[in-house]
Amino acid sequence: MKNSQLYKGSLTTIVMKLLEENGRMYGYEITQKVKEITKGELKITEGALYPALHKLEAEGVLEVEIENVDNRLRKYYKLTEKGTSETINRLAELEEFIRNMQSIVNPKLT
Amino acid sequence: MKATKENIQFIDTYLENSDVVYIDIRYEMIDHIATGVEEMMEKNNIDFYNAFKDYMVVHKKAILKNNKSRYNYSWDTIKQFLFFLVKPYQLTIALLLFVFYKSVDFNSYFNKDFTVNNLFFLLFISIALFQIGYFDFYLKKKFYSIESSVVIINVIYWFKIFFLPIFGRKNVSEVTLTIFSYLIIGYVIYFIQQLRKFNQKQFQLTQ
Repeated sequence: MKNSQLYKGSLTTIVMKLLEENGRMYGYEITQKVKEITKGELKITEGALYPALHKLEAEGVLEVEIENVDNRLRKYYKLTEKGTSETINRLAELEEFIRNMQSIVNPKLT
Repeated sequence: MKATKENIQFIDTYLENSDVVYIDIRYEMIDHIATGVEEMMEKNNIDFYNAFKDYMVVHKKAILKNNKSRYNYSWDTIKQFLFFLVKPYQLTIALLLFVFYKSVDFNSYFNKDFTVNNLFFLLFISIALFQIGYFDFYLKKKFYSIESSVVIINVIYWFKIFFLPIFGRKNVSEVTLTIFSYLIIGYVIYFIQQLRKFNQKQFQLTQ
């Protein structure tokens, strides 16, 4: 992930936001979507994404559906009811963080 | 262009040889790699093996990071168990255990030949043997989603060594007995829940 230290803490929120918008997604699709939205600026690595997805699944934030696609199994992730409300909270937290950072980095704009 | 069954088998063998031992982790990695390789095959109009080689040159390190065998000892698993222990119905079990130990002179059932510590040791051994039997002889394959729970019983075991008197020279307090009984019962219930979830997923995998 580019600038990994800055983005690291926001990875799960990014994933949850994408799932909120797209319903259900699989791992590769998530990495490509992030790349597409950020025009290649932000690349989520496999080593960071899957442990994060498994953690969210274990916490009951995500649930999975497994399907047989093109000779292999594909694991789709989607938000649970708990996950949907958790996403709202985390996005609010992230927005507040961005606002605070904006005030510090560029006070003239606030 | 889509990867054939042989191509998928090739990726599976490659990952297994790269120490990605857990099948459920491997399923996901296979799909991830196969999708990336298929994209490359179409984009560059090359065959599977060349696309695979090009893809892995760039992504191998990231794919194997955190997805290899060492993946199973995680603080998240322990944290999840701790959250489970403080659920109201679990705490009710703890309260009932405390009342039980308060009303029964539990220490009187033990002597120097068979101490409370021996009893707990037997419980740990029984759980460990059950898990070894289930993983190695019943499933015969490694699944991260279920084997990750093993770290919890290891931690409880080490915790026991520090808190229970080994030689039975003194009586064990009701609080200590409650804590360890609660941890073991809690773990058994937690493990059964994980097994149920795992079996539901297994059902999906075999559909």
